[in-house]
Amino acid sequence: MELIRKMRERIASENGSVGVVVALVIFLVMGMLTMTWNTAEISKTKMRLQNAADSAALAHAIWQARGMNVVQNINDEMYEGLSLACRLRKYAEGFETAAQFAEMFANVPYVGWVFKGIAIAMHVLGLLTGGSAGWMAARICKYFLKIIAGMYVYTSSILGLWNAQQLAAQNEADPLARLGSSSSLDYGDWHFGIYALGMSYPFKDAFLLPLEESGKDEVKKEQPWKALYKITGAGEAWEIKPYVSKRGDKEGIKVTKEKKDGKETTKVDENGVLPGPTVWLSFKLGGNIHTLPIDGFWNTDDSKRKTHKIPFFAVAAAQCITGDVIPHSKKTEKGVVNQRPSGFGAGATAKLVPVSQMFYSWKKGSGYAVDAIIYH
Amino acid sequence: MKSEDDILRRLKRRLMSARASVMLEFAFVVPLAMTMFVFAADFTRILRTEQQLEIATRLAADVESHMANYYGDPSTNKCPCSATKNVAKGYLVDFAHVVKGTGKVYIKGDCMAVSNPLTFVLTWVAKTMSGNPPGAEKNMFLKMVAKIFGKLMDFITFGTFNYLTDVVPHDRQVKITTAAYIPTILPIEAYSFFSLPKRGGGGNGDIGVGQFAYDLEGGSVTTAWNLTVNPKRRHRVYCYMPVIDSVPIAPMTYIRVFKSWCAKQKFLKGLLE
Repeated sequence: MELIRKMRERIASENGSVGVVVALVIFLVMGMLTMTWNTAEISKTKMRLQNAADSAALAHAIWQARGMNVVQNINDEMYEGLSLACRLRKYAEGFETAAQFAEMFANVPYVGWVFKGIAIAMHVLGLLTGGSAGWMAARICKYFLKIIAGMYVYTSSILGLWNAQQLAAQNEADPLARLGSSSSLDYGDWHFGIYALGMSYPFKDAFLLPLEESGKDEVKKEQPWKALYKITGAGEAWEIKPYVSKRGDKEGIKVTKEKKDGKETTKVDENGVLPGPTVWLSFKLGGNIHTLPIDGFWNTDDSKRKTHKIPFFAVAAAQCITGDVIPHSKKTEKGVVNQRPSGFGAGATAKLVPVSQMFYSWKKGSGYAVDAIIYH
Repeated sequence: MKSEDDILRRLKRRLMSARASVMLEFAFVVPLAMTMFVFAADFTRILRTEQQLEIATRLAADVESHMANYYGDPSTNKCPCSATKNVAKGYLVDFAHVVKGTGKVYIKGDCMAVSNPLTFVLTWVAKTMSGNPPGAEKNMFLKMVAKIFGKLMDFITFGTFNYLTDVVPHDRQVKITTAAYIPTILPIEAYSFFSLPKRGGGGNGDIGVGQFAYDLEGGSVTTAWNLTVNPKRRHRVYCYMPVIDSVPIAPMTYIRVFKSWCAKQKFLKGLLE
């Protein structure tokens, strides 16, 4: 009883109460400091995640832009080559006519062999100019286009992916594919780093002539050699369709301007042929965000540090943008619209775009993606 | 002469008095409170500096990724650094006031070639195709064969192969590094127990978080902390960004060469009209 009474007295007295309060305050302050430290760590980690995702997305989009520039160069080259073949074919027709004319006098005595020689020479010239050039141009177009398609679709994408992984890795991320030397990262105790995952929509239908031999009817119709026959055989004005968008039946990007309430608005057709957005996601799982438990102030043993189990995410989107997304439309003398996509994709470059806008673009279709990019 | 009992009695009385307990508690609390205050001040400074360095580094990297293409020097792989200096330093000095609070800040911009096995291979191919096969500089026959092969590939692909082998070796990226000495009231070693373990390793005995990356310059995997030899540069942050391309010039291909040749010939001029 005496003991209980003494304890009651001690508890009731004010002596030593400050010590208890201080002990509590120290504990709380330590907790607050830990929280501050952890918040700062998480904040920094998020910033680095964003850096990794941004750099990866941008690197990927840069390669897409390079692909666009290749396509633009190739389209120009195709146009030059096919127009040359077309002209040569015209000359070949002239040579053929001359050869037929010369053959009329091939049986004339004494000088007939001269006309025969002229006819043969004209045939050869016709073959060289029209036949061979046309044949070669058709073959070159066909196989060349395939090379370019392969180069763009596969090589460019691979290079983009590779570069993106590497940049993510350099910005304190672990690449999915480990490049070069093995690192000192310890995977034994399940340490994940920042991973970067990316995706994009490569396009295949921005070429002057369609690439695929099978598929939609429109594509089948426009096989390169058939298109060339169209030019060379008919001798009509330029009739090649610039490309057939496989996303729809319409051709290319059409931009129309409408006046609404006194304001000019621009409407972009949904059949865009720009490469889709490249979106990269970086995330961090497992043991790389080292937060301190309160006892971390006393405990310096690294193995006892706690780690976040909640993954952190950062999303970044980048897009290839072009200086000229509208194919030139010039009317020829005969009133046929020449839809040569000269300058299409010219000066393509890459840009980081807001993710929210990119999701909006996906929802509305690729044409709106173009819209978003142009007016971003 | 006071007896021992008297002394003990007086001491007990003093200890039991309210005034004495307050003094004793004060003597205990003051150093603790001071330590906590110093601790909080140092913490704030460390965290703030680290965060501002992150922001400044990213800011400079964004600018340099655009600027390096136009003003960078590919021969020395150096950034123009004007952007780095102006943007990063401007941010740290004028906006975040980090420099005033922390002393010297170290900012560096590097513009380096992207180095991975693929670029290595393509660089090799590009050199070979241009008639300079690495490792066979003195073999004239091999050089000639390589050059012919290069021209042939260029012809077949209308210069596109050349485009690929040209662009990849010149693919570059910028690396912005900022480092700052963070002055602390307590010795910096006092915060060593906050050192976070290196990934796959133990504590590094320094404050903050060292960044980890492939050290392409050294050709091996190292940590940024190991690179930081100057003890004044306690915290180091870097950010890589790809260099955004300018518009590449269309390669002069055989069709264009032929057409321009035709245009020069009087008798073929009509061909192109």
